[in-house]
Amino acid sequence: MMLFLVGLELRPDILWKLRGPIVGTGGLQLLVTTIVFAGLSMLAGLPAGVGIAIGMIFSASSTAIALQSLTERGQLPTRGGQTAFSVLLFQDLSVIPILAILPLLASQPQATTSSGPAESAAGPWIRALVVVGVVGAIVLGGRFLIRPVFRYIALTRLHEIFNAAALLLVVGIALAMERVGLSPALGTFLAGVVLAESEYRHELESDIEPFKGLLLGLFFISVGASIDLPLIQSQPFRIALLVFGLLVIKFAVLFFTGKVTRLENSQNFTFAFALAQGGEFAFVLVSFAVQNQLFDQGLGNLLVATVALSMVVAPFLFTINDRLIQPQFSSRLQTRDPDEIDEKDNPVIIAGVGRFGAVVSRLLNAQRIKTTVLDIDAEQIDLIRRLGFKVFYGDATRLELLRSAGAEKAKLLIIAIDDVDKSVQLTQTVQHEFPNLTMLVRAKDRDHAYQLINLGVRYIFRETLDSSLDLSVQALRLLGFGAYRANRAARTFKAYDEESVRDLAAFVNSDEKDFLGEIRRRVRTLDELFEAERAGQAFRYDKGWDPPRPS
Amino acid sequence: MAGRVLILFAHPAPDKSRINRQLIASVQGLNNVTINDLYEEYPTFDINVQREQELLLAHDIIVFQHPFYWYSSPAILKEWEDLVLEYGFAYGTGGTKLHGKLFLLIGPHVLRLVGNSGNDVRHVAEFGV
Repeated sequence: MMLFLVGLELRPDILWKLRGPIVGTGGLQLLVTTIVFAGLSMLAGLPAGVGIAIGMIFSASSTAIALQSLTERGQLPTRGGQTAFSVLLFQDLSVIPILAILPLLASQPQATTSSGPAESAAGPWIRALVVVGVVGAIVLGGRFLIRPVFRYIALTRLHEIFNAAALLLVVGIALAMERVGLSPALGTFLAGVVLAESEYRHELESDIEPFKGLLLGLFFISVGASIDLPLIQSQPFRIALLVFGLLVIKFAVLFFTGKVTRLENSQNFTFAFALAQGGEFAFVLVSFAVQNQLFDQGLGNLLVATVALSMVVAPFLFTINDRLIQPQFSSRLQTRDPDEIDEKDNPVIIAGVGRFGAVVSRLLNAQRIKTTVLDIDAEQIDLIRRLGFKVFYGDATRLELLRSAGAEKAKLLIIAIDDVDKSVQLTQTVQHEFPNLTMLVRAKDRDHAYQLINLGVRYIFRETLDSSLDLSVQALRLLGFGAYRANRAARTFKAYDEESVRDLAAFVNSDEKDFLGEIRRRVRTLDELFEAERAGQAFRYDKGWDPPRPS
Repeated sequence: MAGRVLILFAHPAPDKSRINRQLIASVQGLNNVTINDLYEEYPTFDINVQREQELLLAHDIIVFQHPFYWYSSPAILKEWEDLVLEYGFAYGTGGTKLHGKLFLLIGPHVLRLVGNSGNDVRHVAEFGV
């Protein structure tokens, strides 16, 4: 069932968009990992066919663990996360050819085609053909048979029947696969892919979404259950060594792959740590290989135990990456030496040139005002430099840097950094060291604004206020308000809100009850203001537009 | 003279003026009449001078429709005059672009004056050319 969901994620258009990274990075990873493990296995005295099989088994990573963990940490949209996703997709896809190749490997001298299920007597080639045939039948059947059926079911508008049909399809395919001697897991995976192409994908996904957590739990329990504890007890060191070896080698190969695809180091670490564990496909492949007598049950159990344990360790790998590795990068960023600033006489200094500061500096530059721009985000700086603007790297909260940026002579300092603590710290430094420098400060939110107000900053700009007011104005207009009236309403609101933030700032440090009471009073007053306008009563600002009423 | 009419409508609070709404509604959709609602078009007073001049050139009769405040027009119309009727367009060297156009002034208080049997005479305005 888990694999069914994985299959559902495999939408062809996503696949197509990512075809470069999937085939390139994924293929490279799979190939190198297989070669390395095959080589090691052969060094350990195993036959080539078995070695290659082990290599392919170990090359897969756990889609369930990696995707889930990356999503939880919000790392999926990063470059490292995207690369990991691509590689996982490639691994998922490669299972199908691998399943076809495994019986061929069994024809190597080591394995014999003696006893066993009837069809295996017919030789590994037939076996491979059967696999390809069944897979082909599912894909074609899914396209031309299942879709019309689903369309018909959807016409009945009975939600439950739709759900049941989807489940029937999954179970049916799983049984069919088992019948021809393939893993039911692979069957459900294929069913997922088939349905991913159907127009009912989203409906299916939302139907199954509530079960996802449950299924994931079951999945992890089954991973745990597949660990053969007596086996581990009997040879703990050997297995520990295998797990360690698996993780280290996979990590090394992944890191190498990441380097080849030019991931930056921090992203590359995320990528490699995310995928270093073994994957659930390994279980499928091992049992398949054992069925085909590629190797015996004993070796199979050993491989399963190794992979399962590596999956158990996976969350710790993520933690290591978060706690130990990534902080290294951020601190290393900070130890980059500040740039030499060669413009000391500009009237305006802008600290922070992200999405907020960039607009400010563009507008000022358009008015031919010279600005000295500082930022601490190396990536952002490189981007802006590529666009032809001059930016200096450095931490604006540091006094020497401010001094070398000309803070003593400048007229304005625009603080547009998004780190609240740093912003407050910088404000205090400037108040202390450069009392004549006027500050214009971007406030992240009301709390930040309160802090700045209480520090006595005069020019404070709450970053989301104006865009949400703009949106409200447009909403009012679409609801039939005149443009001028909507704009005035927004301006009144803004003026009132600015005033209330300044008033409330005084209460922030007092006890909570006062603060909440003051907020409530404020909201009430605002309501009354707008109510007065709605009722057509004299409103503060446009009394003059009312018809004269002699009293 | 052909009769293409441009109505320059300026009311900061049209929702408070039934008569202005009625007047506008009565000409809305007429083929040869263009209604240019200035407060709706430029709620932040950023008047698009080129658009306004093109509108003037494309019409023969220009009607100012607005309430009378302090014997004058609402603020946006003054802004409009200052920006649109610029040198070289409406006055000065070559400022003859509006020659031959007919300008009319219409204000609801004027109509009030007429229709309300004269009991509200604090607002006085010319009605005409």
